[in-house]
Amino acid sequence: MIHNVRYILALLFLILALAGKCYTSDNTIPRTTYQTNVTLDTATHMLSAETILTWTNPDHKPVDHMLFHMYYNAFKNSNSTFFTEGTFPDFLTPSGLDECQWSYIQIDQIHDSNLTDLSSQISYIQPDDDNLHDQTVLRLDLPTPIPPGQSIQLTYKWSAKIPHIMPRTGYNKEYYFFAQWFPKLGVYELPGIRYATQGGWNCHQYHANGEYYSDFADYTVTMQVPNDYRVASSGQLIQKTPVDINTNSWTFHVDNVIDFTWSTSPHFIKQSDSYKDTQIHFYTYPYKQNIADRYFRALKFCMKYLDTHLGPYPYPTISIVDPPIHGMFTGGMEYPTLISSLSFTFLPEGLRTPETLVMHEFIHQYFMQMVATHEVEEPWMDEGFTTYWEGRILDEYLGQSSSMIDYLEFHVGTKEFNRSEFLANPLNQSGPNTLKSYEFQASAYGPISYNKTALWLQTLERMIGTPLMDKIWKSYFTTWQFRHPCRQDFIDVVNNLVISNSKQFPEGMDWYFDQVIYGTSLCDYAITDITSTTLLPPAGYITSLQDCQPQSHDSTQQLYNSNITIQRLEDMILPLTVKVIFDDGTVLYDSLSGAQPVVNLEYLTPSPIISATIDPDTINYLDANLINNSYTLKSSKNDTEKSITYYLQSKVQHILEFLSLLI
Amino acid sequence: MKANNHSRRVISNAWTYAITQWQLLSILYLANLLLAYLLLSPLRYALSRVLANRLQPDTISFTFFSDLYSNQLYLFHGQSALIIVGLVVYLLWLIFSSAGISNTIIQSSTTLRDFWIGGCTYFFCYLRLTFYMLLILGCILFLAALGYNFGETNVFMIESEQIFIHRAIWISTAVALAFTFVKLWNDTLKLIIARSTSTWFFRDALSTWRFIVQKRLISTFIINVIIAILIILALLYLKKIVNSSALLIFIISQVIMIVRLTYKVANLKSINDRLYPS
Repeated sequence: MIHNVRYILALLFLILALAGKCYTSDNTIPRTTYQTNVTLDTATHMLSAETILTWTNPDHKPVDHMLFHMYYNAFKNSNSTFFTEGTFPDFLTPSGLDECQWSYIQIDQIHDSNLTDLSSQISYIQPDDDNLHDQTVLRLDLPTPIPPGQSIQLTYKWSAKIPHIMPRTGYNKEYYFFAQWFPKLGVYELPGIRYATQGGWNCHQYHANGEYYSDFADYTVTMQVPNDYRVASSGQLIQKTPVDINTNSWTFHVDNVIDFTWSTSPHFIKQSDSYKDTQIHFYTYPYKQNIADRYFRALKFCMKYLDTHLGPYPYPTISIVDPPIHGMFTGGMEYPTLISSLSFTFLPEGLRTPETLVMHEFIHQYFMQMVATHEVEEPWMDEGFTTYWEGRILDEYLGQSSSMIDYLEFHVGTKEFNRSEFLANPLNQSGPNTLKSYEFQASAYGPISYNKTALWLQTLERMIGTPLMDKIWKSYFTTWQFRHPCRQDFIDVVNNLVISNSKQFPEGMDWYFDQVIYGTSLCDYAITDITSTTLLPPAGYITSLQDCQPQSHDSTQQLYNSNITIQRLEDMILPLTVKVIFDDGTVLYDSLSGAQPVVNLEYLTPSPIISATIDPDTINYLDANLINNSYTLKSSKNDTEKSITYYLQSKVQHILEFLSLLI
Repeated sequence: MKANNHSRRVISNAWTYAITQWQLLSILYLANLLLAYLLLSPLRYALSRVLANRLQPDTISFTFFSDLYSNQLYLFHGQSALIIVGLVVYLLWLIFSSAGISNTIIQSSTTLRDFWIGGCTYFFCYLRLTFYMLLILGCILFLAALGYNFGETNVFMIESEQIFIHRAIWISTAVALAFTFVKLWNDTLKLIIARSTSTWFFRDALSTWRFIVQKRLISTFIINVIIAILIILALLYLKKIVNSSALLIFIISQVIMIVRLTYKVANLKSINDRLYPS
C-alpha cells in the first residue's frame, strides 16, 4: 500500500512537473528575432543602424508596452545610475580631455508593421532607483496592445555615440568592442518563470556592479565597416561583400542566444581550430599571435569536459578576442558564442591567466548563456557556478596545486585561490547570496557571488559524492537549458536527486542552502584539546576483606581514558567526521552533527590516543581554518614548522646580504 | 698572454685566499645567521604556538599559508618594524665588516685582529662612502625611472605592451652596467682609502677611475662575478634536485650564503692584488 501511494505520488509529481514545464516552456512561442544593419563610422565614432525586431507575446493577456535596455546611456553623463553607484574613472575627468568622451544611444525613429510612427510613445523609466537622470531603460507604449500569442514587428532607426574606454565596451585607437551596444528588449517573464506571479517585463537599469539578463533570440547582423577592418562577432559569418571602394559588409547570424556582441579592428589577425563541429576562432593583434596555442589547448579541454559532464555545446562557432593592451578594458567578459580574454606578451607559461580566463568565460556559455539565469538579481547562479566549474576543470587540466600559478617557487591552485579570496575578504559576511548584484558592498560582490558559491558547491560535491553531483548538474542543465531558472529551481533539482539517491541526506539539502545561500555565517571547527590518562586496574579490598588485590602494573591490563574537545568557532553547522588514531595503530571514525558549540568525545581504550583529525578527507572546503582541524600528542615540533622556519631563515639571510651591494 | 696569466693567477690566488680565511668568513656568516635568527624570533615563537600539537600537512601549500594569514594575522604584526630595525643594524655591520675585510686584505693578515682594527679605524670613512654610494645609486634609479616614464606610459595610449618590454630591457641593461661600474669604483675606493694617508676623499674618489682603467679591473671584477654566479647556479640546481628535504635545502642555502661571503672577500683581494701587485 505504501509502495502504491509512492507510485501515485510519483506519477502526480511527474504530471505536475510536465504541466509546469509545458506552461513555462517557450518552445511553442516563436523566438524573438533581430535583423540589424549597422554602419560604423570610424571618423566620428558613431554607429547608425536600423533594426527589425519581431517579438511574440507569450502571455495569456495583452501586452501594452515594451521595455528596452539602452545600456550606452549609462555613459551619457555623470548622473547616470552607473556612475552614481560606481567610481568615476580618472580618464574621464575634465582635465586633459580634448573632446567630450561621453556617449549615448537613442532611437531616432520607430514604427510598427503598419508603418504607424511610434516615436512619440517613447519614454525613459527608472524601475530600480527612480533616478530620473538615468536613461538606460526605455519604455515603448503601444497604441494597440499585442494580443496573446500575436507578434509585433518593430522597425527602428537608432544611433549611438561609441564610448571611449568604458567598462566592457567602446573604442580606443583603432580597436572597437561592441557589447550591450544596441536597443535590447528586456525579458518578458510569464507567471511561473523565476519569481513572477503575473506576466511582466524584467528590465533593470545599468548598475555599476553586475551584469545582464536577456531573452533568447535569433540574430542577423550586418556590419558595414571600413574595408581594412576585420570583424570578430557572435555567430557565424554568412556573407562578406564589398559595399563600395572603402567599405565592406559583414553579415553574421546566430540562433537562440541571449545577446550579440562584436569587435573590429584593422589589426586583427585570425587563427582557427575546431572541436567536433564547432569552429574556434581566435582574434588578436599580430604581436600576440603566439599565445593562440595556449588558448586552443585550454578551450578544447574545457569544451570536452563540459561536453562530457553537462552536454554538448550546440553552436557552430566560438570566438575568442584577446584585445591589445589599449583595449584591455574589454577583456575577460562572456558573451554568447564570443568571449574576450586578456593576455600579455611577457606572460610566462606558469602564469595561467589566459587558460583561466578562456575557460571561465567559456563555461559562461553554459551558465548564463544556455542556462540563462538573471545575472543582476542572482549573480551567484552564473558567476558562482562558473567559478566552481573553472576550479574543477583547471585543477584537472593543470594540477590542483598549480592550476593558477606554477612559476619559480610559487604554486597556487585555482580552487585554493578562490577559497582564499573569499576567506581573506573582510566583507565576506556582509550579505547573503540572495542579494542583487548592485546591493552588495563594493568589494563583497566578487568574494560572495563568485568564490563563496564555488566553495559551497565544492563542499556539497564532497558531501554527496562526485557521481551524484554530476548527475545533479546534468539534470539541472538538461532541464533548464534555453530557459530562465532561479535559485529555487536549482535547489529543487538538488533536493529531488539527493532525496532519491543519498542515504546520508534523506531529507534533502534545505538545511544546507539555508546557511550557504540565505545565511552569512562562516564555518570553522577546531580540535582544542586532547588528553589521555592511564586508568590502573582497581587495587585493595575490592570484593572482600580477605582478598586484598595488589596494584597491578601489568600493561596488558591498563586502560586509557582519552578525551577530545572539539569546538565550533563559527555559526555554520555542518556534519563532520573525526578520525582518531591510537598508539597501537587502531583508527576510529566518529560522526558528529556539528551542532553543539563544544563536544567532548571520550574513549576508554587499551591504548592512548596519538592524534585526532576533524574532516580527514577535507570534505568541508568551507572550513575557514584547516590548520586547527588536527591535534596530536606525539610531537610538539613538526616538520611543517621546521620547513617554514628554515625557509624564512634562509630568505631573510639572503635579503640581508643583498644590502652589501650598497656598501 | 702574459697579462692573461697574471690575471688568472690573481683571481686564483684571491679565491684561495678567501677560502682560507675561515675565521673571517665565520664571523661574517655568524653575524648574518644570528641577525636573521633574531629578526625571525617573534614569528617563530608565534608559529610554534599556532602549530603546536597540530598534525603536519603533507605539503606546505598555498592553502596552508592562506589559512595562516587569514586566521593568525597577529603573527605578522610588529614583524615589519622589526625587519626595518634589523636592516639598519645589518647595514651598519656591513660597513664595519667591509672596513675590516679591507684592512685584513691590505695587511695580508690571517688573524681577526686586523679585521676588528680595520672596522674601528675606517668605519666612519666607509659610512661616508656608503652615503655617497646611496646617493649615486639614488641618482641612477631616478634617471632610470625618468627614462622609463619618458614618452607614453598610459596603457590606454600605447599600441602594445612591447613598448614597455623594450623600454624595460634597455633601461635594466643600462642600470646593470652603471651599477657594475659604480660597485667596482666603490670596492676599489675602499681599498685605496684604507691604504691612503690622504684626507682628500674626493681626490681619491676621482683617481679611482684612473686605476680602474689602467689596471683593467673591470675584467677581474666580471670574472669574479661569473665565478660566483656559476657556483651559485650549480648549488641552486642541487637545491632543485633535493627539493624534498627541508633540512638539505636549508643547508644548501647556507652554502650559497657562504659562497656569497667568500666572493665578497675574493673580489676585494683580487682588486687589491691588481692595484698593488706584490
